Amino acid sequence: MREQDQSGYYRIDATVKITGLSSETVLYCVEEGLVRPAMTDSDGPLMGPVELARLRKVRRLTQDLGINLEGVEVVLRLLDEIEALRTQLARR
Amino acid sequence: MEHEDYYEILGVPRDAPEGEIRKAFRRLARKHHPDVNPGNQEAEDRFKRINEANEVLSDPEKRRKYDEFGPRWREHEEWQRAQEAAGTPGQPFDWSRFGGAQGPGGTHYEYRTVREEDLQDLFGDEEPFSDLFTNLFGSRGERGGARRATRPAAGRDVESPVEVTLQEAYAGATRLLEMQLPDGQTRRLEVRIPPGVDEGSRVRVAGQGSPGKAGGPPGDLYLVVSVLPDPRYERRGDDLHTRVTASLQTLLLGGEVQVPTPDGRRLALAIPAGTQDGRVFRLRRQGMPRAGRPEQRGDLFAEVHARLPERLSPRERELLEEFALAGTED
Repeated sequence: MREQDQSGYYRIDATVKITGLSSETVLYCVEEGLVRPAMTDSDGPLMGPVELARLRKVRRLTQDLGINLEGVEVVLRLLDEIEALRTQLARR
Repeated sequence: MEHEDYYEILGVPRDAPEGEIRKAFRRLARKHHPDVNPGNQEAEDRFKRINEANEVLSDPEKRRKYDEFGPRWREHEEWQRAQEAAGTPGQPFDWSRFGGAQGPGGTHYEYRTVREEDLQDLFGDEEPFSDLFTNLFGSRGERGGARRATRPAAGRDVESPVEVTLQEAYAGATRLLEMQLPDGQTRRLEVRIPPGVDEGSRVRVAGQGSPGKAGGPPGDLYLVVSVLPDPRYERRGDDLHTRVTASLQTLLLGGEVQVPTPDGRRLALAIPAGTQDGRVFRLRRQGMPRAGRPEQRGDLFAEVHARLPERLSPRERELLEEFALAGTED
């Protein structure tokens, strides 16, 4: 089975295989707004490359660094904030 | 204000253990915190109700009273305190002293909602609606309104309807959107609609929503898809149904017809000899694609109908009459 079709979007089951996260963790990340699906249809959320990269980051933080999901949430939001500030600085 | 059951607010059963209540509160508080929903009054109100429910249900004594007396538990508590102060404990509770209601479920009693220390426990800082991270990474050294006014806040998400033809839904498409910026300028943006979108699909375009405040990140743009009907095809879920015509000879003697697909291809369909008018053939995996589900592509159903000649040559007529006379059927 090919995991990706020409659309470049992935369902939860394919996302789980690619990222190494459990489906519960992926759904938690979606529910808590840590990852915003690239697309949503009647079958549920779909992830694109950007979202997969973010979920891989979640895996590194949880599995490699041992941070719990609540901590990951804080880390990710901080990283987003840093990124936004860097962008802001670069514009000046 | 109409009383909303605390258990319902937190989405927990009435016999939920303390841990479950705490977990539900933390989850909901994070979701509805005003910092996460800047400018959203509804989220702020919800956040207050969540705090109120947690304040009662996380305290075993208050929870017991709430379970017993319902929304007027606090009035009962005050009554008890008054009885004790008057030196006459144990008197039956007189509901009529409180707003004239005749018991639990009567007139509702309003009381304070957000307790500052609860919020500090959860989000830190002296200001109730503080930044989520301040307690973890320290204060920013500013206080009061000025600090709040300059805090970066994410922009709001924006929805925009987008119509696609069936052909575009089948093969994917790009759309050039023109967006009016607050400064009056127009920005053009090319967005990709993936193959397999259906009615109501939402495609997110990151960072193209309302701009953030004070350097906060912008919101996202959501394209809400509407698929226009196509007279050549009827869509039933992931399957497509179409009609094709074949000559009488092809149906009688067998042959081949071309079945067009929405993306412009023409598929060869073998017609066996003796095919009846209106027979439906299935072309596997030629229907609508499903985003993220390549193995579940729909089928294309072709209903074949006879195309009768409008004029017959003398020779054709002669042969058909001969055919009719030799009739093997009926």
